[in-house]
Amino acid sequence: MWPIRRSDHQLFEQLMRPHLKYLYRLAYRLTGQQHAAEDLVQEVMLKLFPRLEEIEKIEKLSPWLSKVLYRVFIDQLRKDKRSPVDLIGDDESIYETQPGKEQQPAEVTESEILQKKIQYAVTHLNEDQRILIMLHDVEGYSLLEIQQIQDVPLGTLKSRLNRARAKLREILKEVEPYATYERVKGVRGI
Amino acid sequence: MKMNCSETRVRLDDYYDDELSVLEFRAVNEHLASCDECKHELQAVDALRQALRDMPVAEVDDEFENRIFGEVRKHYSGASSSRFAAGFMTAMAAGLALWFATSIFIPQLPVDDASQVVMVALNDAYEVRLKFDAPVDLEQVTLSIDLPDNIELEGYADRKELTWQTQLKQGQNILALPLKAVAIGEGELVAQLFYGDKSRSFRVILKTTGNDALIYQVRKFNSV
Ligand SMILES: [Zn+2]
Repeated sequence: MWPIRRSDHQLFEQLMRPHLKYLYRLAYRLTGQQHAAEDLVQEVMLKLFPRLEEIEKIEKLSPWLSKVLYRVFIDQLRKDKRSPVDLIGDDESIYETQPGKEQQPAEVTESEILQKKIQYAVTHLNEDQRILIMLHDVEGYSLLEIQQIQDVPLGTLKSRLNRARAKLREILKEVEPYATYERVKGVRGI
Repeated sequence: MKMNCSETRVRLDDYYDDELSVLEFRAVNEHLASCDECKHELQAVDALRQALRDMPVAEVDDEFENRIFGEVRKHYSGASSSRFAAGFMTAMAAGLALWFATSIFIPQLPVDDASQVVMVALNDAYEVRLKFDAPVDLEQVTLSIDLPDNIELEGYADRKELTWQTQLKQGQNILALPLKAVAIGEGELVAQLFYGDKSRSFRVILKTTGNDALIYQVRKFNSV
C-alpha cells in the first residue's frame, strides 16, 4: 500500500469508524477495563492500517474485525502471563467490585444485588469460560458467530458454554453478601 | 417425549436460547406447564441472563475515535522513528544530519528478509529507509549496518560498518540512512538486528548507475 497517501488515512477512517463502538464494547467485555479495552482497539487499528487494501475488499467487516480483535487479545494474553490478574487488578475495573459492600441493604434492589454478584462471579471463572459467557450471554453473539471468532467446533463450544454457566451459578451461590441481603430483604434467591 | 424435572433443568439454558430441537422444545414446554419448580428455575435463568446482558460498559469519551485514528496517523507517518534513530544519531559523528520525512511517505526497504534491489545514481545522496517490524517493545537491541563498497554513508566516507545499541518500539520502526553512491557497481547493504540470542538480517542490493535517474524506492537526501 506504500506510499501512504493522505487519502489512505481518510479511507481507513471512513471504513473503520462505524465499527469502533462495538469493537470497543467487545474489547471491554474481553478485558474488563476501559483503558485496556481502548488500548486493544488501538492496537487492532494500528495492525490493520497496513492491510487497507485487503480490508477494502472484505464484504462483511464486523465479524472479520471481531475476529481480528479477539486474536490480538488472545495473543496479548499469551504474551503476558500476568494478564488474568491484571484484568481484575486495575482501579477502574468493573469486575473488582465486591458484591454489596458499599450500599445500604435498604436501597438495594434484587436486580442490583444480582448485578453485583455477577460482576464478582465472572472474575472467578477461568479465562475461557469468562470469554465465552461474555461473548454469548452478555454480548449476545450466537454460537455460530463465536465459532467463527474462535475457530472452535460448535459442539465443543456448546459443552464449554454449559460448563461455564454451571460454574457461574456455582460461584453465584457461594457469594456470601447476597445471602445476607436475602435474609434482610426476604427475597427469593435465583 | 416426556421429560422429568432433571431432564428439563439441564435443557433450560438451551430452551431459553431457542437451541432445542422441536421435539425437545415441546417436551420442555409440556413439563413447564405442569411444574412450578422448573418454571421457577426458568425464571432464574431469565433473571441471570438479563443481569448478564445488563452488565455495564464504561463509556468512552467523545475523543475516543479521534484519539485512535490520530495514533494511527502518527504511527504511519514516520514520526515514530525518532526514538529508534536516537542511538544511531549518537553513534554517528557530528556533522551528519538525518532527515526524516514526517508527512510524505515513500516505500520502505526492505520488507522483512526479502532482498530488494535499489538503483541509485552516482554521486547523489539518497535516503534509504529501512523498516523494522517489532512484535513488542524491545529494549537493548543491537543494530549493525554493513555498507557495500560502492556506497557511503553521506558525510561519513570512512565508515563501512556501524554498530549501536537502540530500542525498538512495538510496530514499525523506520531508520533513514543517508547514502551516497560513490562508485559504479553493485553491492549489498546488510542490516543486522540482535536481540538476546536472536538475530535477523535485512538485505538491500544497491546498484549504482551512471545516469541521474531517480528510482522510486529511494529519495533525495536533504541535509539540514
Ligand atoms: Zn420440574
